[in-house]
Amino acid sequence: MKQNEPSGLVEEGVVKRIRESRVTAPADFLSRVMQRLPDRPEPTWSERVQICWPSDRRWWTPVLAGAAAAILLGIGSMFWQQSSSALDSIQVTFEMRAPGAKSVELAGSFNNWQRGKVLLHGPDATGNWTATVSLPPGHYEYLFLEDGEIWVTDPLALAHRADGFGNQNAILEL
Amino acid sequence: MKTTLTRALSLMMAMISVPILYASDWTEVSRNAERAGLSSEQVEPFVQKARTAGYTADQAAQVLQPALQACKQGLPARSILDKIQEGLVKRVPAETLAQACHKRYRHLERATSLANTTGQPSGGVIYSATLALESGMSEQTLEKVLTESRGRRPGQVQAVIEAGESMMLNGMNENAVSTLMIDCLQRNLRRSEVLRTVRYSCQQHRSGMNGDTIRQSLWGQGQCDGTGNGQRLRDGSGGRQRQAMGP
Repeated sequence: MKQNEPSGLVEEGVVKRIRESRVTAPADFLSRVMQRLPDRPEPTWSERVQICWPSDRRWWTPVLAGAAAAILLGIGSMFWQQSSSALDSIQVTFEMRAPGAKSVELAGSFNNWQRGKVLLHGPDATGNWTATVSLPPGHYEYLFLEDGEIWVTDPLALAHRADGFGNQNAILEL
Repeated sequence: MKTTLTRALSLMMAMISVPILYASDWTEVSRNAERAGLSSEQVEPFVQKARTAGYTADQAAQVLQPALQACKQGLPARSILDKIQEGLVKRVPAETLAQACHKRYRHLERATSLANTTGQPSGGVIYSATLALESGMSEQTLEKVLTESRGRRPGQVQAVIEAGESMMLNGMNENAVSTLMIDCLQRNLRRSEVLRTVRYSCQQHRSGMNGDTIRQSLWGQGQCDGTGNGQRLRDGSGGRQRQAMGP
């Protein structure tokens, strides 16, 4: 009685039949299938980013990390710029003796010869006018302007050069 | 009646056309400058200051001409523009300013040529070389220094040229200045050290010391053999805070 056959024998029989009925695929079967398949589209940038992006709801992790890095970078560069410019600049005190002057100002190549930018304070009891300016190292020409009219050179400057207009610009090297 | 009306109309037309022509000339000045390569940030302040100084458009064009020429030739025109700015602030007559600008242009042309042939085409070096030539440094000295400065940092070369100019303006002999400039380059001195060399040399020159003695006192026995490193200068106590004091 087939019904009374143990189930293991039935399974073996089925497996045997299946194995016997197996058809061997031709040698170029795989390559033909692959040829017929459509090309996989190139992933877009957003898809590429999504690969690296956390899949669950932890989107804020890279955002916070990026923001923290940007803030640190900004603060760092700000401090670096401040400290380097402070280190590079040299404090220079300009003095001119003009007891009778109403105003004395300083103009030079360091401020593009602009008038009214550096005003000297004074006169003190000895008739001196002074101003302290912070300048980066360099080679500068300058003159004092007395009462907004008279250009006066600095007699104690390192050197003087003719300005081509009849004055002798004072030279400052820092 | 008709004649009077015609005269009045002619007068009105003349009154209107003068400012129009005037404005048109100034527009031409700006347009030419921008066409030559100057930016509107450079041109507009110039036009404004030149008008304030009372220059005519024609005079302004003459003042600007060397800078435009330099731009067209691809030369760095900053030194000429600086001279223009200086002249305008000092309220120099237009003819005098134009002459000064032409003079600077000639020196700029020579300085650029020297800098290019000696392989130092930096803008800063050309600027300081232009001023040095203007102050009376010879082309031979400049050429010698620029040739020696091959492969060195432009900032260092610029400092040495400026130092040479200052020493010459102090009345030092050009041969001594040239040798000291080359000493500074060979000893690879930093800007601050070059500056100390200038101050010391000028001070000694004023006290009557000649160039050779100044060198001897600066470098000791090493002189200019290229082996020294400016140790004496580095150990010196120079670099005092500079204070300018009037008469």
